[in-house]
Amino acid sequence: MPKRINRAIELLEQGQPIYYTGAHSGAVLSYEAGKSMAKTYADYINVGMEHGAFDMAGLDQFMRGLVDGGPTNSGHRTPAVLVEVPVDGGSEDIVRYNAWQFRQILARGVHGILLCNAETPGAVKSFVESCRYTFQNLGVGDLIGRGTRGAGAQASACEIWGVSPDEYLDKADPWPLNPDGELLLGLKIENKRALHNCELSTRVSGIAFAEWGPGDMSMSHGYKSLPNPIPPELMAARERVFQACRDAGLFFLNGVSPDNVAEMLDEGVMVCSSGGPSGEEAARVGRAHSGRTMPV
Amino acid sequence: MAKRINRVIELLEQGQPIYNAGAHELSYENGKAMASTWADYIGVEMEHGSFDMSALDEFMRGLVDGGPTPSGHRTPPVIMTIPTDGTNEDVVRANSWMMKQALARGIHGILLCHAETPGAVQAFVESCRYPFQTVGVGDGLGVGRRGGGGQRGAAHIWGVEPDEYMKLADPWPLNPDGELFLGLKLENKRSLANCEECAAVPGIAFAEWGPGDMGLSFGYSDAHDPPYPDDMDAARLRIKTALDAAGVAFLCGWNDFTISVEDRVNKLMGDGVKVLSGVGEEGAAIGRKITGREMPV
Repeated sequence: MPKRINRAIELLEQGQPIYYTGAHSGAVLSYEAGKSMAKTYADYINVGMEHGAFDMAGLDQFMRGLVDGGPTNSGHRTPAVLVEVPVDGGSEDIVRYNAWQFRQILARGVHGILLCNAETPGAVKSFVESCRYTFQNLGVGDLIGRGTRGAGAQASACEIWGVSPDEYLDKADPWPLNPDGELLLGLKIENKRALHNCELSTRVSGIAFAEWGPGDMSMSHGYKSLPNPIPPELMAARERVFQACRDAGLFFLNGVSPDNVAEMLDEGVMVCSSGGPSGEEAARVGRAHSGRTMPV
Repeated sequence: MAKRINRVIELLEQGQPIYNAGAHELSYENGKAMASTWADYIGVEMEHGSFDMSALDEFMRGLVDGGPTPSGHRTPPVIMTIPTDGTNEDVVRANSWMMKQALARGIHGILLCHAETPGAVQAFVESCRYPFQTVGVGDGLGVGRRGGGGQRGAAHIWGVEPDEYMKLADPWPLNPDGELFLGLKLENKRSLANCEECAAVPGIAFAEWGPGDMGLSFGYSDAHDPPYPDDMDAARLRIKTALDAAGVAFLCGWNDFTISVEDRVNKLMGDGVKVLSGVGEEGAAIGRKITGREMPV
């Protein structure tokens, strides 16, 4: 019997690493695709809308399909769904101008959002505030202001979560800032500007996890893609983001393969990108390594 | 045999004027039907048209499946007007996600409406470029801001590997090997006041004077078509002069339906217009004959 709506949070609370599937673009957002993914091996589904089509009607259908294809083998109504939002976290103003994107995405009943190119603490602050209802108090005044998410969509989002509108309003708040919250908010610290501010950005209340975005970070350092072997300046960037996450109490996201997942987990990676042909196998190996008991 | 992915760039490099047509329905079937269009490029209108990325995905897939074009290109180029206005640098930066979304669909260029300040144009060009590109950086442009992640789908539309796509998805003629065609609508009084500086921003290939909006800005409810009042004529001339000075191709139509299509085409060519708008298939055929076009249509 699940203890939470958001399976990823439930696992992280148990000290278990989590695994996701879903690319940066190309997601098929249809009712049928949702139905077929309801029992995915992954703990959460990443919907890439940074580059993937910003399609709210498609996301609606996908979420409906997840509900109708559920419950999951772990007993949850749906797998958790996190969306990479189109807007970049270039500055506080940029995020505020695009706060409507968070509102739109959350109204579809998703369980979390990943802000790409999170470059300044102000951008992160406005991101968290945009995802919170105004009546929530935890953390307000301590690096974040009052929430700015408006009412109106709780009646549809709550149907996806399987709760009443009133209960949705209470639970749609960032975890672990709010221990009862069911939203998982994350950052991509993925360019030089973001790296420069990473210690401050990761300390903003309401963020649960972050990654170093090796593809974009490589470009920002002048490489077309991540070189192999990884040059020292990029290794240093990864370590700096990782350390900032440790210091701020955030979970660190990194790609894993069947060959390196145990090593990654031992290093402290807790959010594992495990898509692609070997993704399921990487998750299987990792779950065995960490003694996972929740059914997949 | 096509030399480039983007047919309009190939034609402009040959000194040929280019002609456009609009896609009025974004569906797979219409993409397939338009793969062999008479036009050199297809304009997709999302300033006022629905911002529908899934439909654009379908349209682009249809173009690929309906291709190649008689000219040997995988698809006709698709140039899109995006919803955001180019009011200032902040507005464009806040809406740079639209550039990222549009380019990830595999289109070949973007037209920024109401480009009013050089800062807006600079932010527009930077939003369309990958950060590892270096041509022009420090010389009127900052580093590119387009992030990785959308190259796989776009590369499929272009028929190249993702790695190759990232190399080629850069503005021409700033980057001689670039395949992106970026343009401006200098279409109101504020744009006009800054048109020389806007046109000079590196990375811009073409621009228009947007007579419909320019007319509104001058207080006319409808001055889209000639004959134009003197202030509109002066605006058109000022923008054309600015574009010539910056080496930017002029996009223009001449909807004087009291004269023949041939006379309209001749008028535009005489004015040095390189991107002829609104002359239709008949006008394009006439124009191509005048300029000795060899590339199959």
